[in-house]
Formats: sequence, structure tokens, C-alpha cells
Amino acid sequence: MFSIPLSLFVIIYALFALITLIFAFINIYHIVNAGALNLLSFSVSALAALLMFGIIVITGIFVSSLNLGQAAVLFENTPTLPSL
Amino acid sequence: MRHLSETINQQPHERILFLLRRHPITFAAKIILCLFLFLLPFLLRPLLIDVLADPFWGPLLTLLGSAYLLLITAFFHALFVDYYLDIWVVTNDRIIDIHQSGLFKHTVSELDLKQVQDVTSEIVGIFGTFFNYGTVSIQTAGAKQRFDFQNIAKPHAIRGEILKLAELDAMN
Repeated sequence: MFSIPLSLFVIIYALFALITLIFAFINIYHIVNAGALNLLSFSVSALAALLMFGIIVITGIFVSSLNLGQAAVLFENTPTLPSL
Repeated sequence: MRHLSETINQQPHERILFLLRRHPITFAAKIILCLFLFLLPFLLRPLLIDVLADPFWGPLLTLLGSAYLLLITAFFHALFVDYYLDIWVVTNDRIIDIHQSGLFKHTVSELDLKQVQDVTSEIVGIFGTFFNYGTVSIQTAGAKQRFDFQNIAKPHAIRGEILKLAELDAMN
């Protein structure tokens, strides 16, 4: 029997969320470094960052209510070796 | 905080005359696309009620949806940075082309107004004609033979101003 626990997907999600946050940080760094930080660029960046933060927080609250021990069973039958 | 004058290494005698970006209408299409992509999971939600009720696949689909929303938000932010950091600065001495391609490529090239050989402006298409935006191409005698200001507002007026500035710079 082969099964994938839900916790594995949560870990993958967390890594993905971290990568997107790093990308957002790099984008903000580019804006500041290019000397293009003004009301518009700050507002758009703040909106994007708040949106990402909100999505992660809401997902975190949702994940905390889950039973992470659940698993998807992919193969029900265990392969058996032929007896000699 | 860094200022644009530091990015372009502005000289004491130099004045920034034009700070040009692509016309905002060219970014509006990207906003609409991102908004549609962002709302897509919410529009599809009624079709997935059965899957969402499943104790394993429901949470998994929710995680996937959340990751998708994060991706679209990051994509929109990257598009905005790409749009906002593509700047053409025209001073009384030089033309500076600041170009951002993706996350990790940032190019700054410049051209002395003395090197300007020919300037062409072009408005193409219905949107370009209606909103008065187009491309200004500058032929140069420098290492970079051509500078293109893509989709900027009032291209014909900008062409005239650049020609005037090039003449003034040649006289000094």
C-alpha cells in the first residue's frame, strides 16, 4: 500500500508560499534600488504584499483545523512476491 | 532611500526633462487578465462542491487554490515592476534607458544627445490612435545603434522635443 499524507502537501505549500514571498521582496528591492519608490509603487507593492500575507494567514487558519494525518491511498494492493 | 538621480548618476549641470514610461493603458490589459485569473477559482468553486466536501481532496484542492492565488498575486506584482521600472529618462544632455526584464535582469544604457542621428515616431493600431501612444525610435552613432521608447504617450511631441534637444546640445 502506498499513501501520501496531507502534511506533505502542507509542507510543499509552505515552501511555495515562502518562495512567492521572497519574489515579492526582490520586486520591492528592485523598486527601491531603481529609485522608483513613490505613492503608486508603494501602494501597489503594499497591496500585493498584504494580499499574499492575507492568503497565507487564511490558509494557515484553515490548515490548523485539519487532520494532517489523513492520507490518500494510491495503491490498495500490496505487491506480493511469487513463492518459489 | 535611493533616488532616480543616483540611478542615472545625474551631473550637477544636468536637468531631467522627461521621465517616460509605457502608456498606462498598455498595463490595463494585464490588470484585467490578472483580475480574471484571480477570480477564476471563486467562479469555479460551485462546480467543485463535491470534491471540496471530500475529507482529503477538499483540503488538498483548497491548498492548491491558495497556492494558485499566491502565484497570480506574485505574477501581477512582477508585471507591475516590469512595467514601472522600464523608464526612459531624457535630460538636457543624455537619454537613459532603464530596462527591467523579469526578476534578475536590470539594464541601464545611455546615449549622449550629440549621438542622435535620426528620430522616428510611430502610432500603430486603434488603441494607439485613440489613446495617442506609440513608439519613438532613435538612431544613434553610438555602440547601441537604436533606442526604442515603446508605447509611450504623445510620441510625435516627444520626437519633436528630442530633435530640439539634440540640436541644442550640438550647438553647445
